Amino acid sequence: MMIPSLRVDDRLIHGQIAMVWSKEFGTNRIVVANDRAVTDEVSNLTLRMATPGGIKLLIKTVDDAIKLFNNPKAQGVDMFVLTNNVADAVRIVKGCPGYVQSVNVANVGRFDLTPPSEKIVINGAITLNKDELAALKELATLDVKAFQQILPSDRKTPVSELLKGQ
Amino acid sequence: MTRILIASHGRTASGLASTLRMFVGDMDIQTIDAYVDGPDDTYDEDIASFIAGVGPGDAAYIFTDFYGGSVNQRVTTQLIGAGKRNIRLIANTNVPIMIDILTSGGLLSYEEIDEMIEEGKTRAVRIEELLCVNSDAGEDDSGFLDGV
Repeated sequence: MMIPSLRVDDRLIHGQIAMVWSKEFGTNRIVVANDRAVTDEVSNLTLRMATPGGIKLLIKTVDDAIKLFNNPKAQGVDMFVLTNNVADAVRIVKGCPGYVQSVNVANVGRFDLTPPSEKIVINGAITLNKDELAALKELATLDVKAFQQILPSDRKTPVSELLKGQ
Repeated sequence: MTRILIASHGRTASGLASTLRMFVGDMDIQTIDAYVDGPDDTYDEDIASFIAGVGPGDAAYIFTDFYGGSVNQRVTTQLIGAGKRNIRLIANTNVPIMIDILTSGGLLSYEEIDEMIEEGKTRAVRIEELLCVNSDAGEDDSGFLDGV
């Protein structure tokens, strides 16, 4: 199976994802890999609301998502995967080597409760606390294309460029 | 090329364009905010120049605010006169349909547009129903992998 894009977005599924990105990859399966969303009823509900008709959605913990991607029954299925933080994305890339074709670090850290003084602003859409910054640096060392691209019409900014000076 | 015109009474057209750009990036979207300067605003020339600018290889869409209004009437009149077969007019427009169409590429058939309209139609959200929903989205692994 292939994950053409693993997207890090602190809003998980929302307008841009639903409308625009699901078309871009031509896959009709989305997996949200997020420990909290599995048990939080309201998150669960809003994710299902945001999923366009004709798209199948699974909400899994990160560990269960990794198990799913490695499941022989999933071979031959392409999926678009979402996490809401960089650390989870790194776990997934490491947990199913070769399956993730690209990581799109789109929107990060806007809802993070870490005090602003302890966070680094990379750009308008990416703010990182200490752990997330470490995760992003680790992502840059992994053997996978990683970049920021908010809309398909935007340029892909490589993670190495985002990390300059950090 | 895809050519887009949005025409409305007042500023909905330019408002819609600003919303759409958040989803489709910097697309070339022409807008007509009719009657902003008063009831005798004539915008026929703007409609005409849009229609004239549509070439045989283009896919053109005109979105209007509502079917029965004067804006849609003026557009319809000119479309009938111009007779170009590659311009699609969508009245009673809404945001989801516009995003769907604008991210599709090429000239859509009316059947394809009708499907998008069905999918993207305005809906009254019944909160009580949402909270009770036990839909299968998000629940079932084998259903998800079905059809492989």
